[in-house]
Amino acid sequence: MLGLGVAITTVMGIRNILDIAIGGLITKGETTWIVPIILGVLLFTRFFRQVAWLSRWPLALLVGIGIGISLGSGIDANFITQIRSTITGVKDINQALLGVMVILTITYFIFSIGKAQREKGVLKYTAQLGRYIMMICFGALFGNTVMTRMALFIGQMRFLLFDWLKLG
Amino acid sequence: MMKSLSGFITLLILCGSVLYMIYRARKGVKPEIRRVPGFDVIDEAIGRATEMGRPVHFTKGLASLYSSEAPQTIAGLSILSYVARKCAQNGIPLITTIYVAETIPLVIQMYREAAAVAGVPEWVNEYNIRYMSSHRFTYATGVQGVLQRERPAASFLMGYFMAEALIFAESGFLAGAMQVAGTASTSQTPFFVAVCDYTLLGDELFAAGAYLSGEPVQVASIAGQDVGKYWANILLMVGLILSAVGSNWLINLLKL
Repeated sequence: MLGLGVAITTVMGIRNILDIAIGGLITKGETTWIVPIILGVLLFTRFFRQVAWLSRWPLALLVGIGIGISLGSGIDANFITQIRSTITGVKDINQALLGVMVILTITYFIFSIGKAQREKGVLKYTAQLGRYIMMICFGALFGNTVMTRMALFIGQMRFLLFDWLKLG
Repeated sequence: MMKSLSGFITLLILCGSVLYMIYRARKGVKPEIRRVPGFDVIDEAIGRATEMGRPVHFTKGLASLYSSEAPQTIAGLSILSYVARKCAQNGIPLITTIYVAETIPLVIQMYREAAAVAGVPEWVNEYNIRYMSSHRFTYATGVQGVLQRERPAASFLMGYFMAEALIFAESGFLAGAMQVAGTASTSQTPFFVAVCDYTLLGDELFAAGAYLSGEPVQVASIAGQDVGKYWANILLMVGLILSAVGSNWLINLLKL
């Protein structure tokens, strides 16, 4: 299985290089493919000790692009939209409690607090409550996943025993 | 791409606070960050492996270096650097199983640096840096095999994981390994909490990377991010109060 997986990935990688990059450059004349081809080749310089440092450039570029893309979309999706959804339509106690729980949970993840605050400040208690809230949430998520898997298992067993083998 | 003005302002606040904290750290004012119990467990697990004379296993999960989950991989690599240093000092093998091929050179470099710092260059054995596959369940099968064959005394699962999280954790448990996990993937954290000996929850993974590196700049960036958490809490508190009294002012402001 492992060998098969690696083999498929290798073949797909080679085909992508030949069809998309080199094919695009030669047959369609898309010169921009030169950049990724050069960066890809630079990755292999690590096999030659004298120029091995060159292999860090494509990696640095990949990390930079990744962080840049995730920062832009991440702030909107994971910060602004989440806050807006939490504070939208607070009409009953459940919605208000949800908001309070979010605040308490965030305080658990505040790390740069002084020793005095950590030992007897209000953050000590809010962080503790935040931890309990997370544990309740994890318990619910765990239970939910187990129940889903059990439901799938029971469904398949019903199909095998009653529909396929006609035992019932 | 940034879609809203409120997002842009938040980005400025977050980046500004991180840069300011880094600037202060470079001037010599290193911020204090609290120690999470999970940080001690990392040392304990490596100590256990040393006493038992068995290897340590490390996986940094599935995320590449350029996806939205890349920060988890970078945090995982920071922890790997610490674990490698400790393993090199103690002279025990560290097996790192790899899903993303681009990270292989980084991991090799970390092994070499760890060995150089510990003064044991012969500790580096590239056979212990094992690329399995870039297909999720093929990778999971490979890691399972490593855990069953090598029987590590400690297993670290640090980074972004999906459905294979429980496969790793269960296999590690069956192999008798002390397991320390850390992920910001909310859907997989419950499984790690249930099976592993200690789990770094969400942001603790990033804090661990910075804390264990001991570098003032990294620690300062964690302190800078805390400003973002205070900012989120302020927005939530004001928003909840306004929303409770029927005002949509902040909600509309966040749509800008």
